Amino acid sequence: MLIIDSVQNAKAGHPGMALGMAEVGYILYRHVMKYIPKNPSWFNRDRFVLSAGHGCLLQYICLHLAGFSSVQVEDLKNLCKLGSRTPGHPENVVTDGVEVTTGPLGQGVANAVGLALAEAHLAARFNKPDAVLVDHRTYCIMGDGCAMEGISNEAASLAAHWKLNKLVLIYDDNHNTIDGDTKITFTEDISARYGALGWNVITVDNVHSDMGGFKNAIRSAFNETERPTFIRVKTVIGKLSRKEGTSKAHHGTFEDDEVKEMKQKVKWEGRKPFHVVPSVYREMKIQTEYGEALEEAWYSTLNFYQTKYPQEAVEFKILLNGGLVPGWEHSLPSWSKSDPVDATRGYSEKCLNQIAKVLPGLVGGSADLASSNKAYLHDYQDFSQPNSPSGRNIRYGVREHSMAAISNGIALHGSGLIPFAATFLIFSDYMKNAIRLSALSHAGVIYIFTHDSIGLGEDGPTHQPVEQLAGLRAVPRLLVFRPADGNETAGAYMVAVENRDRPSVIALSRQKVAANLEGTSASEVKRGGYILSDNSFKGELPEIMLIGTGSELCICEESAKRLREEGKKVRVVSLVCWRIFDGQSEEYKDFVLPKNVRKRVSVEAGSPQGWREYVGEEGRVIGVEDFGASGAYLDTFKKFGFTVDNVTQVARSLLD
Amino acid sequence: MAASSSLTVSQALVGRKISGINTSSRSQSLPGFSLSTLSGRTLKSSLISSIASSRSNRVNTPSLSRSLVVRAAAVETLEKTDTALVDKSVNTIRFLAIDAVEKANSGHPGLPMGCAPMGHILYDETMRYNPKNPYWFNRDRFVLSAGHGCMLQYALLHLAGYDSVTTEDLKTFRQWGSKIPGHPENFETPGVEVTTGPLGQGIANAVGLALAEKHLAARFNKPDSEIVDHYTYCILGDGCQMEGIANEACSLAGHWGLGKLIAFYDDNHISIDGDTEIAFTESVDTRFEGLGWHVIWVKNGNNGYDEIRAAIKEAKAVTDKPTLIKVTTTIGFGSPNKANSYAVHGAALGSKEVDATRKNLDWPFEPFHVPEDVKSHWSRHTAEGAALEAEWTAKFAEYEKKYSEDAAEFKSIMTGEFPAGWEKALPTYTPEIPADATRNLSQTCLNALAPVLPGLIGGSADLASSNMTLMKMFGDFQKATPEERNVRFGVREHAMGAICNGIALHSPGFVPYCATFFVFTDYMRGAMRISALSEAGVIYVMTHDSIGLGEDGPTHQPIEHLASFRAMPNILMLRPADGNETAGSYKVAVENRKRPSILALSRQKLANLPGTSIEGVAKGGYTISDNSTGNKPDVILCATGSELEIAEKAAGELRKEGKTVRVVSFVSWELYDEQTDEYKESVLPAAVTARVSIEAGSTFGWHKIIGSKGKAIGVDGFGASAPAPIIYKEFGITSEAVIAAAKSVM
Repeated sequence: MLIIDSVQNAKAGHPGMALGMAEVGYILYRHVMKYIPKNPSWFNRDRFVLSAGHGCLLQYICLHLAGFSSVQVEDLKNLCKLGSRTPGHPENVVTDGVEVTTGPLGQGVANAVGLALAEAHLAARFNKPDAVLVDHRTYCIMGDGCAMEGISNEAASLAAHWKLNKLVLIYDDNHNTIDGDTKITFTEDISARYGALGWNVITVDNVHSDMGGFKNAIRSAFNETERPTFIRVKTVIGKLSRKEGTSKAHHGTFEDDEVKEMKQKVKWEGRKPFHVVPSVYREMKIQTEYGEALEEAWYSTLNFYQTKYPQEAVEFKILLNGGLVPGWEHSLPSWSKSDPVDATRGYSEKCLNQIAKVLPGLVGGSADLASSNKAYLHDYQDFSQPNSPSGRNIRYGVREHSMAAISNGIALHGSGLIPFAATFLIFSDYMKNAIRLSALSHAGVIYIFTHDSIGLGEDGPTHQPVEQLAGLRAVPRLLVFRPADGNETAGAYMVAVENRDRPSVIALSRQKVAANLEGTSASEVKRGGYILSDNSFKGELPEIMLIGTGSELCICEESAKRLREEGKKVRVVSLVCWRIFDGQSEEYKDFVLPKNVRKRVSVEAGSPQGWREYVGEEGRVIGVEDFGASGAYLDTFKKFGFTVDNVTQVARSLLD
Repeated sequence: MAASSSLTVSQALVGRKISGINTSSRSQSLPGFSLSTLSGRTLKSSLISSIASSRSNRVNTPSLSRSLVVRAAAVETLEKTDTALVDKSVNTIRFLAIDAVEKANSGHPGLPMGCAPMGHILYDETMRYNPKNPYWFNRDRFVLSAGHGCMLQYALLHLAGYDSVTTEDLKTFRQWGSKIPGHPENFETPGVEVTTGPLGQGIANAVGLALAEKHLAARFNKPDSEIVDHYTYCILGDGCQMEGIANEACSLAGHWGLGKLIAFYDDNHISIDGDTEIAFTESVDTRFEGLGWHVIWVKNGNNGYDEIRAAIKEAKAVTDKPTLIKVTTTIGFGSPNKANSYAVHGAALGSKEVDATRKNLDWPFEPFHVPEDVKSHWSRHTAEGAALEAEWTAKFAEYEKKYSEDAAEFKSIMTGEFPAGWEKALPTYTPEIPADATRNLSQTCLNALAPVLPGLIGGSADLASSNMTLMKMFGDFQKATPEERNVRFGVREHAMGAICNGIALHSPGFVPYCATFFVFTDYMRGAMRISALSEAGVIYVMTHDSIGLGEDGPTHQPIEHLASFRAMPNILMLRPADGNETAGSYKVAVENRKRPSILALSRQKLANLPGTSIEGVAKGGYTISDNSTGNKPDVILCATGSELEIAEKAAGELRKEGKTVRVVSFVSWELYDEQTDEYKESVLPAAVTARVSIEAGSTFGWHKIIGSKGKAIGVDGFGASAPAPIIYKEFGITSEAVIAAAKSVM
C-alpha cells in the first residue's frame, strides 16, 4: 500500500514492478538478508541490487520497514521531488542502504556481479579456517528489460565463468515491458540461456500465493558451491490493480477509485495513506536484530584476526579504510630525458605494476586486450575459481560494457578495492553508459584506454578514436587524462588513485612518443594544465602559445624549438586534464594561458570540439574532423597534419 | 570422405542436363547445390528431379540462351572440382592472407587461415552474386562480423572476380589510400556489405540484412514471381560471441524467425589474450538453442568440406529459424609453430614462419600467386553472376508489367529514388497552434511520411509509447507478419542501432529509424558511430532529450550527449524547437541517405514559435527573430530545442527595455558549419561579440559559437529527480538567467 500512496503522491513513478515483487522484497529483507539499518555500510552485510531500478519504491519501502533512517515516511511522500532522498531511480549517493545506482537497464546485474566478485576475491585473500571475515551474499532483482540488454548477458556469462556461487539473481518474470506483452519481442527460453551460461536455474511458479517456493529456491542457492543461482519468479505486474498483468501497470499513477478498490482487496480501507501496521515494523526488527548480533560477532572475529594474523590484518584494515596507504605515490616511477622512450601505454604498465605492490586494493583487467593495453599485474595471478580467487588480474573477455559496470560494483563494494578496466579508447563507446554511472555513482574506477588516436595506424577508422576524448570530457565529474610521457602518466595515476569517489580515464598511445620531455612532472598533472616550456623573458609574455596533450605535446615542443631558433618567444602548455585545469583559480589559469596572448595553436589528434575555449577566436585548432584511415602511423599522422612542419607552419601563419 | 568420384560427377551432369532441358531459369545455383549434395554422398536422383521440376515452373526468360552457354562452362569446371582443387583453392585463400599481412607487417592472419574452407564453400559453391555488379539487388549478403579477419573476405572477393580487389590491391593491404583497409569498410571496397571490426556489430548488421530480406519478400513477392529471395551469411568469432550486442541481436533473430540467416561461428578457442578458457566457458550451442536458433556443429572445419556443405544444406532446409553453424577450426591452420595460439591472431607470421607454413601446406608458389587451375575454376563466377543478374532483371521486368504499383514501391526501395514531392507530406505550423512536445510532433511527421516513403521502417527499444514512434497505419513486423513496418526491438538499444545499419545498407531506399531515450544513446554509441562511418542513413529518434524529462532523475537525464555527437564525424545532430523545426529535421534526415541523423526531442510541451521554418533547419542555424537593423544587434541569443522558447521570451523582455536583440536557432551545428562565410556573417556578425547561448545540456563546445566574450548557459553537472519546471528553475535554465547574462555581456 505504501507503493500506491507514494506514486499517487508524486503523480509519477513505476508502481507495477514494486507491486508484483512485494513478496520477494519482503522475504529478502525479513528472512534472508543480513544487514544493519543503523550501520548501512557495515562491511560484511549482504548486498542487494535492484537492477530494475524503476521499481525503486520496492527498495525504498523495504529500507523504510527495515528501519533505515535514510527512508522515513516523509521521504516516501517526497518520491521524485527535488532534493528528496527517494529519487526516481535508486542512487547510492543519495540514499543510504542503496548499494549502487541503477535505472539504465542491465547495469545492476553487472554491478551485482562486481559486488560478488569482490566478495569472492577478498574471502580468498583474507579468510582463515578459524576466522572468516568475508562472508556475504549478493542479491539482485532484474526484470525483462534487464534480461534483454546485452550487458546482462555479458555479466551473467562472466559470473558463471568465475563460479560466483554466492550471487543470487532474481528474475521478475512478469511478461510485461513498457510497450506491452513480452511476446512482441522477447520469446527466447531464458532459463535455457542461463543454464547454458552455467547458472543454477530455478523457477518459482506462483510467488503471490506460495512464498515457500521462493524460500526453497533461496535454500538451493545457499547450497550451491560453484554456480551462481538464477531464480525465475513468475509474478503479476501491478498486482491488485485493475491493470494487473498488463503493460499499463508498468508506470503511471492510479485512479482514485482504483486505489480504493485495491485497498479493499487487502482490507486496507479506512487506513490513512502511508499507514504501516506496527506489527510489520516489529517483524522486520527481528531480522535487523539478527543483523546486529552478526555485526557484534564479526567485530570480535576481527579482533581475534588482528591478534592471530597481524600481517593480513594490517592489509585488511587498509582496505576497510578505503585502500590508500600514506606515501603510496612514492612508488610511482619517474623518468628523465635520457631514459629510453616508450609508448605511454608502456609507461602505464610500469606505473600499474609499481603501485600494485603498495596498494593492496588494486585489481582489474582488460576486455581481451591485456597484452595490447599493457594492463596486467605481472606479479599476480588471474582471478579464477577455484584455482586462484586471490588473483588480482581480471579477465573480462570481449565484454566492455559489463567490464565497466562490474568495475562499478567492485568500486562500490566499499572494501577499498581500486578497480581498473582497460580496452582501446574507441571501445569506450561500448561502455559509455557504465562510465557515466561511475561518474554519477561516485565509483572511482580507473579506465585505461590505449590506442588513443589515429596514431594507432593500420587498424583503420573503425578502431581510431576521433570524438571520444571530447565525448568523455563532457561527462560530468569524470577526469580525463591524456598524458604525454612517463612522468605525466605517473601523474595521471597519482590523481586517479587519489580520487576514490570519481572515475578517471587515462588515454594512452599505442605508438612510441617522441621523447621523455623536459619539464613534465607527476605533480604538475595535479593542476590539469601547466607551462612546459617558455623562452620569453621573465615578466614578459610569449608571442605565441602551443597547447597540446598526449602524443602531440612532443610535436608542440619540437615545433617550439624551431620557432625559438627563429627568434620567437614561444610557450608550450600541456593541458593533460581539462576538468582539473578548469577548476584551478582564475589567477593560475591566467598565469598559464594569459588572456593577452591571443596567438594560440592547439594540437591534439582528436576532434576539435571544445578546444575553442582554450585557443580563443583568433587561435588555430589542429585536430581531426573526419574519421581516420587505415595506414601506417606516421603516414596517418602526416596526412592529418600532426607533424612538426605543419604545426610550425600554422604557428608562423599566426605570427606573420 | 571428401573425394568426388567420377560417378557422382556424372550424376551431377545428368542432373544438370535435366535442369537444362527443363529450361530452369536459375540453374546457376545448381553447381553449388549439387556439389554439396554430391561430394561423398549418395545422390538421390529423385532429389535432382524434384529440384529440376520445381525450377521448371519458372518463367522462361530471354537470357536463356546465354545462361545455357554459361552453364556448359560451369559444368566443365565442375568436372575438375575434386577435393584436390578445393584444397588448392582453400590454400590460395590462406596464402593470400598470409602474404598480404606479411607485406603490411600488420594484420590478422589467424582467422583467414582457419576459416578459408568455409569461406571457399560460401563464395565458390553457395552464394549467388555478380562480381561485376556488387550492388545487384538480389545478391546473397555476406558479413564478416569478425572484421579483423578481413583478408579472408578480400581474398574471396579477389578470387570471385570483384574489380575492387586486384592483385595490386592485395599488396597495399592496410596502407594509406588502399582499397582494402585494416577492417572491412563498405564505402571503400565494393563487395563488402557493411563496416565491421568493432566486435559484435556485424552479426547485428546481418540480422538487419536478413530482416530487410524477409520484409521485402513478404511485401513484394507474388506466388508467380519471387523477386526477393536471398540469404544472409555471417562469420563471427569468439569475440563477437562474448559481446552483449550479439546476444541481443540473436535473441531478436530467433524471435523473428529469420530462416534465411545463416551464421558461422568460428569456434577456434583463441582470442587475443589467449585460450577462451580464461574468460569464455559457457555453452554457446545451448544458449543459441535457448534464443530460438537451429544449431549445427561442424566438428572439422579445417578440411571437413562435406560437413560444411551438409550443414549449409540443413540450414537452408530450416526455414522458420535462423541457423548457427558452429565450425570448430584451428586458428592459423597450417602454421606449424603458431597455429592454435594467440600469437597468430593479430600479427604477421614472420618470414621464417611463412616459409615453414609454405612447406607444411606444400605451397611452392611466390607470394600473392593464384595457381592457374584455381584461377580458372573461379573465373566462371563472372559469367554466372552476370547471368544470375540478367535472369533476375528479366524476372523483374515481368513483375513490373504485371504488378506495376508494387514494382514502383519496390523500385524506390531498390534504387533510393523517393517519390517526387514526398517532402510536401510534412506538416507546417503557425504560432497559434497549441504547444506540443517535439516527440509528439515527431510522431505526426513520421506518420505523414510513412505513406509516401515506401522504405520507412523502424521502431523503438521498448519505448514506442514514450518515443511516440509507431506508424499507426501499419502493424508490427513479426514472424507471422513480416510485411509490416513497425519493428519491436525490445530493450536492446545496441542491437537496434546495428540492425538499422544493416537495414539501411541492404538497399539505398530503406529509411530505417530507431528510437529510445536520448540518454540511452550511450548504450548504442558503437553502432551509431558505425552508421556515421559506413554512411548508413539511419534516423535516430531520441526523445526525453534533457533534464526537462523530470522525475526519472539523473540516470535518465542526458547532459553531455549533444556535445558528444556534435564531435562525431559525419552525423547530423538535430535539436528542433517546435513543429516546423521537427518537420525540417525530418526533411534533412530523410534527404541525407549517406549520413545518419539524430533528432533530440522533448518530453515536455513546447510552443510553436514565429520565425521557425523547414528551410531554416536546412541551414543549421538561422535567425528566428530580430529587431535590429544593419546586422548590428546589441546582443545575439543562441539556443536549440526546448530552450529556443526561453531565448525568445528573454529577447522579448530585453526588447521592451529598448535593446536590439537577435535570436538564433542552432538546430544543427554541422549544417551551419557547411554554410558560406557570408551567410554565417549574416547570422553571427563578427562585430557582435555580445552573445549568450542557452541549452539544457553541457556547455562543452558552445564557445565555438559565442566566442570568448560570450556566456554559455547550460548544465555541466548531473541532473536531478523532480518535476521539470522545478529542475529548470533550480539549474538556472530560465529567461531571467538569459536576461542577466545578456546584460553582463552587452
